[in-house]
Amino acid sequence: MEREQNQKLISLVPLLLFAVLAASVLTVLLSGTKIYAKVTRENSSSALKRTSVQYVYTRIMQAEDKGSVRIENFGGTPAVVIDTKADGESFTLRFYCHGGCLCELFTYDENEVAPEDGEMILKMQSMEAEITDGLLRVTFTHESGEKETLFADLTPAAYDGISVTADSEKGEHE
Amino acid sequence: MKNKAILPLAEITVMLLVFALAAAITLGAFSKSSRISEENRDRDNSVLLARSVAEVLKSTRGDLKLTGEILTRGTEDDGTAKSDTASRPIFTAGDDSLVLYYGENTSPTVPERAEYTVFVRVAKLDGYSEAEITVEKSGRAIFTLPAAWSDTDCSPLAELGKADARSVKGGELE
Repeated sequence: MEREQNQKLISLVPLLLFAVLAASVLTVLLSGTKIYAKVTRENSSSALKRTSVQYVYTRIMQAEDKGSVRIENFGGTPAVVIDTKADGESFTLRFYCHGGCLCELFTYDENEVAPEDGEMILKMQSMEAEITDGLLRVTFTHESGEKETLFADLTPAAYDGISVTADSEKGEHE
Repeated sequence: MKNKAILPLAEITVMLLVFALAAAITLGAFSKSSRISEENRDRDNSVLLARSVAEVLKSTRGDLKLTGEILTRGTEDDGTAKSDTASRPIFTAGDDSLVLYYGENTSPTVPERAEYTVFVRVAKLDGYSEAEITVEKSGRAIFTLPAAWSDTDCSPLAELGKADARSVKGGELE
């Protein structure tokens, strides 16, 4: 009788071990999925922030004359406008939010254009812009509702070499 | 009979051991990827914050109080409770230093809720000023950005900006 019971217990051990194995597999898989989702979400959010702010900022910094950066009401939506000249011709670059996207539109000065003519850069809920005392402030509201603000100094001193901002050489992270 | 029971037991035990080894390696990699992603997010946020501070500093010619006010303007709209910021300052400006506090979503917030702390130190030199902007998280410096600007106000645009200060919000010129 006792031997029979022992036999039953011994045959249960592999089953028990298998259950432990199954539970472990499930736990590792679930935690892996959770971590992967979190990493992807964070990377995506960071990339969105970087792209929107960095893209517009770089374009502004590339402008030959910071005084040519202005804001206008473009078809009912606020737009950051950069006027440039190349080979005697005038061009206008606009950044604005239209149809749930941040758009860029590069045109000849005289061309008549509408917001829907722009090139979509990335998805964006809305964009607000203002220039006060030579300081441009652009607030992007992402699809998630998260806000990101871009500041750019438009005073000539920031452009003509008197003022320097260096980030790559002394920038450090530990 | 006894041999028959031991064989599956041994099989599963070996499987468990192999799986435990694989799981330990995998979980370690998951944890590392999560940490790297968090560090990247912190660095991205820090760079954006430091650059914003540098741009505003240059625009205000190193006026630390005004810089603090500009950077923290509209805080209530960015998710921080009005009651929190109404009675307590969300930045500290001294003669040559400024401390700003930002939450996880890089919106200005009260010191208790701060995820990132931005320290600004300004030094006035001969004809120009230098600043060092350091972003810290939990007492650890993440990013340092040096900036410099001319003390002579050679910016007609700043004056023009004052006269022509305007903003576009929600498609309307204000």
